Amino acid sequence: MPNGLGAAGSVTVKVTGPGGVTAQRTMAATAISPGLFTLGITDYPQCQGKGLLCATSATVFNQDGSLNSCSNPAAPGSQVSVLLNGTGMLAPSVVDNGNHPLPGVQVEGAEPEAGQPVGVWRVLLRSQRSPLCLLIPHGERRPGAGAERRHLGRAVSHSFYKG
Amino acid sequence: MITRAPCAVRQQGWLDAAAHGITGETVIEGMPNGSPPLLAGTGAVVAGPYLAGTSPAADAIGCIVDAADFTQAASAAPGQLVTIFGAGIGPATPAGYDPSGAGLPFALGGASVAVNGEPARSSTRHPARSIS
Repeated sequence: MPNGLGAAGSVTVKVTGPGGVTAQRTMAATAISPGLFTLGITDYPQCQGKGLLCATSATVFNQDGSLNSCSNPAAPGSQVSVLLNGTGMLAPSVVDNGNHPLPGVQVEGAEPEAGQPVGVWRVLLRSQRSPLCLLIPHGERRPGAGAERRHLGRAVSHSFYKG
Repeated sequence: MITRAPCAVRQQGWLDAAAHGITGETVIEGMPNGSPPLLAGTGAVVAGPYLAGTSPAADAIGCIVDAADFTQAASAAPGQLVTIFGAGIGPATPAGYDPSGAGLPFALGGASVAVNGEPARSSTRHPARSIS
C-alpha cells in the first residue's frame, strides 16, 4: 500500500492484469493493520516428541539469518527475529502488554526491514526456553514522546525451536 | 468461473489448499535482499480453480488479504503488504522483482495495482495473485 495512504476513509484498490482484465475493490483505510509473517509449511510434526506447544508457525529467523525450524533450531541464548507487516508509518514499539506475557522472552527491539515497505518491521527477540510458544502480544506504538499509546494489533502465538 | 474463494477456506496461518483439493505449485516468495523467503508453502491457492479454463468473473478480485498471514484484510494501512487473489490479474508465468534493483517496481509481468489512483509497488505476480 502506498505510504501516502490516509489513516481514515476508504481505499480503492484497482488491479489491471496483463490481458487487460481490470477489477477493483473498496476497503477501509486505517493507520495500522498489523500481522505477523507466517510459514506455510513446517517440520513441526517431526518435533511432536520434543514438546510442541503451538500449532501454527511464524516465520522465525535465527540469528544467522537462517529459517528457524525443528531441524534448524536457534542456538541457546541466541537472538531470533520475526517480521511484522502493516505497522503503519510510525515505528512500532513491541512490548509485553501484560495480558499476554512472554515467559522468558526478551523483546530487544524492532527495526525497519530493508528493501520492504515502511510497514514491514523486524522484531528482535531472545529466549532461554526451548521449545518456545512464541507470543507476539498486542504491542504498542507511540505517535510521539509521551503521547497516547495505542494497541498495535492482535496477539498471535507460534512455535519456534531452540537447540 | 471461480468456484472457490480462497479467503473463505483460510485456516490459521495459511490457506490450507490441500485440504480443499487444490494441488499445484510450490510457492516461495519474499526474498528481500537475498534473505530467506518470507513465506513458503505447497499447493497454495495460486493453482487450482484459477488456472486454465477459468473465465474471469465480472469482478476478477477474489479477495485481498494481509500478505503476512493471509488473514482477510478488512482495512489497509500505509506501507502494508497485501496479497490480492483473483482471476486473470497476473501473468501466466509468475514474476518476481529484482531485489538488487531500486526497490519494488510499480508493474510486474504486465500487471499493475493502483490504490486510490496512485500506483502501488509490487513484489510478486502470479497468474491469480499479486502482492503489493
